[in-house]
Amino acid sequence: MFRQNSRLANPHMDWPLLIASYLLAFYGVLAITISNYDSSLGAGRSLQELIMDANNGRLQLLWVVVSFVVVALMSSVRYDLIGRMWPIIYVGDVLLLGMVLTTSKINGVRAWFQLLDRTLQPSELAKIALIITLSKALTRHKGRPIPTFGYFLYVCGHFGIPAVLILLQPDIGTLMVFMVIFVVLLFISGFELKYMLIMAAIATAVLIPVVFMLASSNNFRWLRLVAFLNPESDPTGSSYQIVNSKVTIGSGGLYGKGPFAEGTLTHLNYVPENHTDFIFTVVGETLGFVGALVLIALYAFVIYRMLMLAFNTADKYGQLIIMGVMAMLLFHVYENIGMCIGVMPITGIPLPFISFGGTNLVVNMAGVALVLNVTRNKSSLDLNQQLDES
Amino acid sequence: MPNQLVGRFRAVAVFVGFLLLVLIAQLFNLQILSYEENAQSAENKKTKVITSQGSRGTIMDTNSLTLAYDKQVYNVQFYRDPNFVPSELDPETGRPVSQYLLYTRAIIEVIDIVERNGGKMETNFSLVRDEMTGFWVFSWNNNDYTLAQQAAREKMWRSNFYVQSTTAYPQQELFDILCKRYRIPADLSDEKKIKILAVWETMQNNAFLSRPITISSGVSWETVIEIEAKALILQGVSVSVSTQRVYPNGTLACHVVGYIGKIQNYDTYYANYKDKGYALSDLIGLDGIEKTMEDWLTANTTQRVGKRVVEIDRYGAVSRTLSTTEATDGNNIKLTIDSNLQRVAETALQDNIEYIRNAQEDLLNNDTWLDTNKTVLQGTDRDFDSNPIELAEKGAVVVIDMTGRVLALASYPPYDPNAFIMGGKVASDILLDPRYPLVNYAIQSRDTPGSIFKLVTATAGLQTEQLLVDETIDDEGYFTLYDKSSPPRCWINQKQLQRHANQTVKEGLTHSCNYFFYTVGSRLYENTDDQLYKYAALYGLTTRTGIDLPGELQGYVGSQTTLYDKNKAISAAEQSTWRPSIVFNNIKRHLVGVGEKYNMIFDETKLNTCVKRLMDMAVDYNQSDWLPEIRTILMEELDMPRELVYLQIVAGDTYIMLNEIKWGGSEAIMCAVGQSITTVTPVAVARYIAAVANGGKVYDLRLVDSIISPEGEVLSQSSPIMASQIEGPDAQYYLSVIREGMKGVTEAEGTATRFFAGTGIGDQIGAKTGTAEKTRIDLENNAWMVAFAPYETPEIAVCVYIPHGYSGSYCSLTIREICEYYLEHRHLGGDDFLPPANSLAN
Repeated sequence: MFRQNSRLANPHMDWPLLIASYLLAFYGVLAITISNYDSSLGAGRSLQELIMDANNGRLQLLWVVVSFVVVALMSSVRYDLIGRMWPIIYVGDVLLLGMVLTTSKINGVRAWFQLLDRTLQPSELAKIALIITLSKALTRHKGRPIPTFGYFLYVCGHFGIPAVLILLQPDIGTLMVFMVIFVVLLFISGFELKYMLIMAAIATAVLIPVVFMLASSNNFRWLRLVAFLNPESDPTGSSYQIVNSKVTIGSGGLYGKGPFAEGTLTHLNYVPENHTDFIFTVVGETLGFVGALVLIALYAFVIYRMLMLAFNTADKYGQLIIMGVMAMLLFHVYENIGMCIGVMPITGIPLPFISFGGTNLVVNMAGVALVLNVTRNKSSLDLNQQLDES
Repeated sequence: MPNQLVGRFRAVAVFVGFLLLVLIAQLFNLQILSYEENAQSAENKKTKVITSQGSRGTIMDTNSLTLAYDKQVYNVQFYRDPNFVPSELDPETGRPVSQYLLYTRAIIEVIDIVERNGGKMETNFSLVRDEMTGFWVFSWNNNDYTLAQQAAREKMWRSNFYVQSTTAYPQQELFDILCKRYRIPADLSDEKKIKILAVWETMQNNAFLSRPITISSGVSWETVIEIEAKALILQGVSVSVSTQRVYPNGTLACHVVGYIGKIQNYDTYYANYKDKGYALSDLIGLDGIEKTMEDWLTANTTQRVGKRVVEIDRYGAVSRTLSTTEATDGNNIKLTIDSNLQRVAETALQDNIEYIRNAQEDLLNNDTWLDTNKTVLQGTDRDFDSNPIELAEKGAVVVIDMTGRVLALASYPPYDPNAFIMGGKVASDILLDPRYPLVNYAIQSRDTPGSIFKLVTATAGLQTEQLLVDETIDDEGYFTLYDKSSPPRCWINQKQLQRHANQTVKEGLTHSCNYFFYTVGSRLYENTDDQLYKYAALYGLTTRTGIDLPGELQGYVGSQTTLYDKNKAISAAEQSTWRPSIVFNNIKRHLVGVGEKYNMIFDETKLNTCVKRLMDMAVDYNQSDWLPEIRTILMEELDMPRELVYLQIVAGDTYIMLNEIKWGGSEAIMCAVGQSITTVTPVAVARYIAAVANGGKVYDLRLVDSIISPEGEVLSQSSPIMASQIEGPDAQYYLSVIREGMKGVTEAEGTATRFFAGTGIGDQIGAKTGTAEKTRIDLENNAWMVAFAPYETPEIAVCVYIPHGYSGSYCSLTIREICEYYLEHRHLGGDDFLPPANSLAN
């Protein structure tokens, strides 16, 4: 699978990635429109009318348009220049994450800035910031990415300080995204496996008592987290969403009940939040196994395309940026769909490009734009190596 | 790129592939493999069946006068949807507020609306504060609960409220805990809080039903309007329409109509009603026609219940209706009862009982009576304090036509069936009345008939030619054939025997002469094969009348098998009476006593076998052969020595005891005058009198004239069912002679003459009185009287029964009222001045 591909290795504008990303974004507009469908407005309306009649669909379409600008911006400044601004990005990131802790709680979490009638979630931006700063830190040294223990602590700081701030919100979902990005970047940077194993061992040693403590405390968050393991045990409590979500998706069958069919559980609101976190239930029920496969295929394409692009990027820094974005997307997709179908715990992680909300779309598009930035502007050689050789 | 990194990329690629495959696999599982199950589950989640009921059928009398009908009423209901997540957010947490907050708010409002408009909450909170001590105690509305039952109720209560642990939720803190849980505002009064918790208690107790509970029924129209107007804020509150049974004539024909009520218990529900489509909370007929015609009347069966299948959203709101089946009403029942005659019969019976009671109370204070009965009152071991003299306070009357149609049926005391719909004190008063008003004495009392049985003896005697129509028999005082030491005699004063001289069967009946019927009974016993019993059975006195009412008892008539049937077990459950088991125990005790005296211990099984063999021997052998047989059995079964069984106290006493179960001449002649062990029910007697009047045809009794659909179509029309018949070449002639004898009863020389003198109907009817001895006190005699009218072409037969009514002739008052009314109105049938039933509806 992984061979050097000269066309991908040379600087280029990667249209397939961009097109696939926007296909996903439009799929999202459709899914949101379905979840927002109001049958009382009458049948026989065109898709355009349907989207414009659905408040959330119309708004999401607007965000798609906005995302063009973001993509244009993010890919216009060379990524290596962005990389040099890492201290500013890092400080800004930590400040925003710190400031958001002073706001009042919404749904029990301090994660949002109120901007007029919209909200801004700094932890979404923090993911992109983490990818940029961590990639930079891991490519500073030639040869071994982390030469000393002191440097290891320094790298950990890049990850750790924002991570702790996010834990304080508390936003477990985003924290998990952070950890996945951290691990993938360490892995691809070439960090020694034995050290990674030691890290894993330490993490396990720390987590086991924490898990035991939570498990015995019957904490609400903990119950919600593990509810997916045995959802039938308490179908009206924490796992109510999981049971309904699974039944809703399962009842879609092979071809689904049709996007605007009457009497779907989607339209009867059996799954709460089905335009945001649980948007996949809408896809599963109305468009069926086929529709869900199309969606997963699009994600698979985007993720593998990023993998290919990263593999064919000689510049280590650019390569890590692509892998960071890929890791972020992968985890989001797996966790979100997994939670809807009952193989992952419930966390507040949206489905990239699809879930309703501007931040989600814009941040993911920004990630894609960053990848495109790398492929367009990369040197065909690893800059670090060039330095070494010169 | 270093090879090591290529490997890591490959690892990541494989890992990504693995994750995506996990997703696809689970999707395949949910959407393809488990599709059916999930689709079904989705369907179940979103569809709900809402049932509705039509009206229970109307019960009316033969002239279409309504006796019971369903009235529409409005009820306030409450339902807690466990899945309900309020859209209102708590400003503190940012999460939705507790649903209890919204529900309790609605409950407070709805209590206010209901009570302001004059309604009453039906819910009850089982935890009450003791006014004396101030402690909270459980109160279960049932003082009869044992400690174990109370504990079980408390456990159930706690489990329904999720406060099982008595340590975590101490009884004294439950009230505060629940107030807090259900978000009841602290500034309300305790009284108000209890009312709110009462609604929650009923909801929690019925949560498993998944449907709204009724918290106030029969509310006013104003209440309905106010609740509908505030529907948006009254979370969980709704208004339903139901029906309420009304008995517009109160006590009229209550024992015929019956009443409805709740299904008594789970077992009855699951055994008899669930499969038919009833809900546990449905009302069913519990007595009378309401019970026997339940299947026709009810609107609760699957076929009649209306069903609306609706689609509901997560909040339980109906989004659309998928299918609707309208409810259908139950069928209407038209009875054979004529309300006018029924009313006459009820009033007459009540007046009659009061009349007799007054007469009895007068006698109790009358020196002559006290003097006459001095020996009886003093010479017994009866304790009159705990076992006082019983006077007339109950009774029954039955009027039927010649084909078994019941025109009136009354039992005294009556009750108002509406009381059971209302519940409360009026209902408990009925249940606590020592006269048991709920018992229908017309079908559920079984008593010694006395002289009204003589018509059977006369029929049997004439039919078997043991008695000839012209034959005369003199009353010779004591009847000494079977018992010389204390022979029976007629009731007439020994100085006036000449009044019972030269009697044919006609005079015998008119005089009700016991000596006459001892003679006939003796002949039947000596010369025929139990023909007296056979004719009693032909007249239907040993079978049920088949009347459409629940709980009819079956009478029995004296004979060897009634006294002791050796082919059945000795227990009273198998035999007609207790007598065999009493005799069995007496003989056993006697033999054990003999054994103790002579140092013998008998094996229990051997003893039982021995006594049973003795009793069977008594049936098979004549008394003259008993003594040797008794000795043989005692020697064989109990190994008694020969000298012992020859002792008088061993075999002789056994002989005397065995006499009790031997159907002998003494018993037979007592049976012939309606005494002995014979017992009958008033309905069976009425049927028998109708047969005497109509020429021997015994028809089963009918209360239902027809069953009419809600649309007015006659679904079923009852027709006469003949159970048996008195047949023979001269049967009609014999019956006419008997009727002549009965005619004399209300004319000169009859036993009821004085009550009919001057009424003008004494010669238009045939009657017979019956006074059955119950104890040695004459005031406690059972009073019976039967009659048919008009004499020439009989149309009705009447039976009046007043236990402890002193004298049969006293029942003349009721007979008189009924016959007078009937003879006066019989040509003004309902059809003459009323349009035929349902002709208006079409």
